[in-house]
Amino acid sequence: MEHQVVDNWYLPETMEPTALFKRLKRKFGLVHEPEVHHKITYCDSFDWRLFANDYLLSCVGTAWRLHDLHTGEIIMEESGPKVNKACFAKAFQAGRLQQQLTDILEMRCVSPIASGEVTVQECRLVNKDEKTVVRLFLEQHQMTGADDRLRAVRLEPVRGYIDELEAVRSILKQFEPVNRPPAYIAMEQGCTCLGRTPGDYSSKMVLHLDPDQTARSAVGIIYKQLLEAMHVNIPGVLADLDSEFLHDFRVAVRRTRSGLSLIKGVLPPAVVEKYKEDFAYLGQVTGPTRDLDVYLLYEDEYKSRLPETLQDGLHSFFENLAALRAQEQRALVRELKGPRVEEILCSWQAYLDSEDTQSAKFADSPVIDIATKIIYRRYKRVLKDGLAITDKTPDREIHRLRIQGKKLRYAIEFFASLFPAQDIATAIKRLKKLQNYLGDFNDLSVQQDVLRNHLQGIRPGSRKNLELGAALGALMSNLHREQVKARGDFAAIFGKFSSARNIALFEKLFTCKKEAI
Amino acid sequence: MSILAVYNIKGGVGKTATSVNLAYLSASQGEKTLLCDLDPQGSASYYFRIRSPKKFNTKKLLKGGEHIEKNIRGTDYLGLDLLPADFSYRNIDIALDELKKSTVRLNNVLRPLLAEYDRIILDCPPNLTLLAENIFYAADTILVPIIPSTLSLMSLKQLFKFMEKIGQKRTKALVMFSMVEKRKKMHMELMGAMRKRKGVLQEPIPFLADIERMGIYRQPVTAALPNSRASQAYKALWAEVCRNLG
Repeated sequence: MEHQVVDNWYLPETMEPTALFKRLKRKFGLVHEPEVHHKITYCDSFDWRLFANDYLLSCVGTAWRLHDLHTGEIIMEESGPKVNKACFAKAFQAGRLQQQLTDILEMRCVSPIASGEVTVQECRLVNKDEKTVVRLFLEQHQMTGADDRLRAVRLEPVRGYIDELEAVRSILKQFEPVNRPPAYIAMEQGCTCLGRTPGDYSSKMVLHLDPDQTARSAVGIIYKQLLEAMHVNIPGVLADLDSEFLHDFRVAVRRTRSGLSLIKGVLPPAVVEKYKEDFAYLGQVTGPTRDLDVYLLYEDEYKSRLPETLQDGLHSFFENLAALRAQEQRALVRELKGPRVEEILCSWQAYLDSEDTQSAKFADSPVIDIATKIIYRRYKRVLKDGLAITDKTPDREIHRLRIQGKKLRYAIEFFASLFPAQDIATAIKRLKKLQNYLGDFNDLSVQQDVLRNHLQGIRPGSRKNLELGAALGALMSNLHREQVKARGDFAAIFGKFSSARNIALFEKLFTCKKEAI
Repeated sequence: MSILAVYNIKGGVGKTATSVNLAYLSASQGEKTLLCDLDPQGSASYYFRIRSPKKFNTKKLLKGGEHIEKNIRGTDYLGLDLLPADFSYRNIDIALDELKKSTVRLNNVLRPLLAEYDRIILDCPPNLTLLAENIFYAADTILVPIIPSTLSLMSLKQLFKFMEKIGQKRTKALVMFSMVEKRKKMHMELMGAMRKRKGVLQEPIPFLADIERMGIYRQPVTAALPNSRASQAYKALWAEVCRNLG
């Protein structure tokens, strides 16, 4: 393995450090440096972006360190904000660490995932000239809530003193070697105490369905996972940590709604009707805040679209948006804490945990049959609608195609585990290219609408409003130009999606395999 | 990435104290530094409590590559390594003379080490021989500590003449004042006059007991007594050297 932790051993609970030092004293002089003691907090985004990129972020006071997860090595160290429940990359000092965090975290913040106390005692082993020949570090990690403290001994070699290093190694040989950095183990331990496990949340759906299981049991698993995603994101939405909690919550709601309308005849019609309406309601109450979040996230991009002289005009625009968002967020919190939301989530949970009294038409069919049918139908629809679009087709048809693309994407994601992983990954990658294009195109329209609406609300007269008007006007023309250009790209993008190679892949994956049996 | 030699024809002018302290300061500022002790007396090695490895000698030094790498020792300070001196260095000129391209040997063995180190500092023995020629060729900058006295000025003239003779530019040399005694009128006068010249550094290292005592506590004074006057002087000098390195 390329990741290797060397010269690290666990110090057993039964062994006192003094006993170890006594043993070392037979061969070396020992110089104890003062013990360093600090409170440490490990942080990551809710969806473990740093962990997923093999990093570990620790904070002591305002000193932040980015470690390699697998070797424990410090990659970057810079000062940043005091740790709090939501630290954004923006709050760090400009530098390499900030850049790295910005790239990985994007709009997400990091929050504490584990905390505790670390004590490090450095002991220099010296030869008869009192020259340091090996450095030994005794680390103790006591994570908050953990019963056991973690004690480890680490050696740092001094160049050219190999025999001495080997001698210390052979003394430490009796201990169990540490195969992962103590910081990683301590972080994991601390997380567990707070009820989490590294990597336990991702906005992606991770399902393991069995082709032969009944459609009813499969959709049960799908909906339960989506409901779980809603539940875990609610605290972050209420605390308003970052915009992704609400986004992920809404994605789970939308996926559920899509499921309810796409997967027909598996749940009883009455149930489908009730929850279609309920989840539409959840989508609706969370919409305004999300829309404003999206606009606020555009701030930097908008500025980059404008010459410097016009950028100031946008200031009041974003201030206004932020104020509106604060208002919407308060309304959203009220709503989420209210009886209707609770009723929807609780009753849906209760329903998913129970058995149907009345079986629906396809409830007992093997899920693979239902899945291929649904996905293939969605695929045909995207193909048909897309091929009908020419240069003269109105833009709204492209927006419709975006919705169809989304439905296809959700359908594939629900049932992805039923198909060969490699092919599914390719299919999703190709669909994603089309979706990205459609998403960007839609964004350009929506943004122009928002700006136009805002422009209509401005009263002429003041200097400030004049500047705002100029900035909005310039932005609209900039966005419009880009949209016109993007419109021209449609044929090429869709051409790729509807290529023979792609059609063959989708046909192979999602046509009924009954003939083959 | 550069090689800095601390050199003077004369002995006892504070070359070793200067190299040891500047090497420590260089490393403490995050530059990975290698101090090469080229003086057969091995004073720099002694200051760092490092003994010459048993199988290391002039031959190994001039072979370079792994023969050098194997014998580099870590000091007690992060980022600072040392290539210890060996007593056999006293005959280094004879060894050099027997080799082809005898004036560029040292450069050929030291240059590759800049892949690992940001800076190499050479603590040189006092002489004006083939080794000196090698040092002048290898070093990007030559720091020349002088005690402000008439004899020192004479030796400085000899040095420049020698540099000219072997085709090295004078601008490679940076002159610095060492072991300066404020109470000696001549020191102050000579220093005053010389400071106006090009290539002469302004920050002097005073004659201080703390520097002399380095032999007792066997550490750079900049590490052992970081707030002492001696340390302040070395820090100021190092900052000036860095500015001149560009």
